[in-house]
Amino acid sequence: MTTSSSVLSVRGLRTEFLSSEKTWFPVVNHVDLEVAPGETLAVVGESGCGKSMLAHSVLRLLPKKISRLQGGEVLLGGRDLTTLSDEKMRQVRGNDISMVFQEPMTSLNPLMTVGNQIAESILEHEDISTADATRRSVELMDLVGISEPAVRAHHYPFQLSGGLRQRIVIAIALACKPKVLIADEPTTALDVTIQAQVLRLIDDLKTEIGMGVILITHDLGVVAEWAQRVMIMYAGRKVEEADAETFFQGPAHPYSQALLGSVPRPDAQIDSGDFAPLVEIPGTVPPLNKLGPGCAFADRCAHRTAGCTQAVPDFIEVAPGRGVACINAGDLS
Amino acid sequence: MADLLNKNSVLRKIVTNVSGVISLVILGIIVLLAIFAPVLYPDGPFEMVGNPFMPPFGEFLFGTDMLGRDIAAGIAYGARISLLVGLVATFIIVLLGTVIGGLAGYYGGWVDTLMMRVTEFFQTIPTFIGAIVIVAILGPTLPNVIGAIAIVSWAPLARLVRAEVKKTVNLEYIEACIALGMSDIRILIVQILPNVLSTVVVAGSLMVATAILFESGLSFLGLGDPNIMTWGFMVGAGRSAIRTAWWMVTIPGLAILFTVLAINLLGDAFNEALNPRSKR
Repeated sequence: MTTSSSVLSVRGLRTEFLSSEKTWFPVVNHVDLEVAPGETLAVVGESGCGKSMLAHSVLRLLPKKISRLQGGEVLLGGRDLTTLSDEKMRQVRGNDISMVFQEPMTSLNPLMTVGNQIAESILEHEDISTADATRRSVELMDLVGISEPAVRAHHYPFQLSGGLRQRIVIAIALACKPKVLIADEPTTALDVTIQAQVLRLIDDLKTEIGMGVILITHDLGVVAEWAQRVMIMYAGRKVEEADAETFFQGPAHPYSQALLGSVPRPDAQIDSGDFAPLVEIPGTVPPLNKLGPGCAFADRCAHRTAGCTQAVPDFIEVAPGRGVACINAGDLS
Repeated sequence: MADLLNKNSVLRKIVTNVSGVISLVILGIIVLLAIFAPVLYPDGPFEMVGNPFMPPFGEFLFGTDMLGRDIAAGIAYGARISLLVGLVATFIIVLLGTVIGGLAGYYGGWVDTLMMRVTEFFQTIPTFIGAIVIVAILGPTLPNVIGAIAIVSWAPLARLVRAEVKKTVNLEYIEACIALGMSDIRILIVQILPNVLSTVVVAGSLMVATAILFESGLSFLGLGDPNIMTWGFMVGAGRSAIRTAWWMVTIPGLAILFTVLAINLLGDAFNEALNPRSKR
């Protein structure tokens, strides 16, 4: 990806947290990413690998007392968001960059009608009358595929199903036509059929509005279907980046290979008659405040060599938008 | 609030609740009495209308006091003061408590620490003695009495609101609102306040009764406004004749009792209507 076409580019972002021993440790470590308009970038990794921290860092939503930004820039339309004042940043949120949270059950106010909640976010950013905002909120509900939007606008969140609620959350996020939508595991709490509908909706609206989407997920099935590019994170670092097709044909990093290897494939098992237990990656993500000098994945890696524990491998870009952080990557493909 | 009322459900629940009905009837009578006091007793409560020491249910409904003033007129005019003090003091208490508790709970950190230390300072003052001291220093006028009651009573409400706000502020939808770029004030007023409202309504309704009791106590001690007839003043003035003329003390005393009881019952009814889970 060339920078000129990107709507959002993050360069060398490093976010640190304060540990209980009062030392700072990185949760997002030197991460670069680019999102173009109308493109979906999937950020993939296990729980605790820093995906959500990355999203929250971009929007500067982390608690100030226990977190800090240690370098890097977040460029949106030529502006570096990391240097904006809190008030300017507030105007960026919801207006230029919106976020959809994981839990549609809890990310809506239970005491407000959904129509009012959509209208609220419009009123916050645009100088229009309440009546106009209400009209817009009904249009938005129609846009996200809710039938009888004028009626449903008067409903409270508890009267709607999970899928409908997530549509409302998306409508709120899209209320001001953001340039970038960050969807933090938007379908994890939904069942599979609703999941497909919601992702289809995000995909359609992405093309319609021309916004860039950062889709945070741990579901590689979702990635294969909806993302144009993939970024794999491990222990706060970007370990691999590729366009979706290249990635699924030949993941270069051992962690990516292990992730793909641990996806259940019932059809293949039935075809081959081999019902071996699901392959898993041994061990867990190491605590981010207790990382050794080498590659964070070394302990769990099947291809570990002596060099792996010496130094953190650099992220080597072999082509624009294609790279990997593994010293043995050349031998693995 | 508009939501609570136009849905009708809270009102309906109060009307279908026995203690709610009793309290509404008693309060209705007292409010009517307060409104129509100048019509019923155009001469005012200080006018000597008959002989002193006349027992009740004779020429005058509630008898006369030792200066020949109509006790019924005093009850009617006293109702105005009691309700006025109760409502205005509660309004100030709710305003102070909600603003201070809300800011402390929302911002946390040093704002919280500072505001809670101030709140604790006010909580350590014995409330009634504090009110006596304030009125004694500033002088016994009605605004001073109301102000004194408010100053010694807002602290517990502020703590209550702070706790409720703290509970709400960590919910995910508040984070979602921040991610949408909503301003702090907007989040506080539009998103958090409605969650706190039912607590404030219940606590506030009980606060009205406490304020009325405070005012009666201050008047009883002679710290009320001397130009205004209040129930507490009537009890205090009739105290010296309690063995010969029981009604001078008893009737205003009963007025206080029923008013406070009715308001407390209404508070309970509100509580039940707004928090249905608490009573099951």
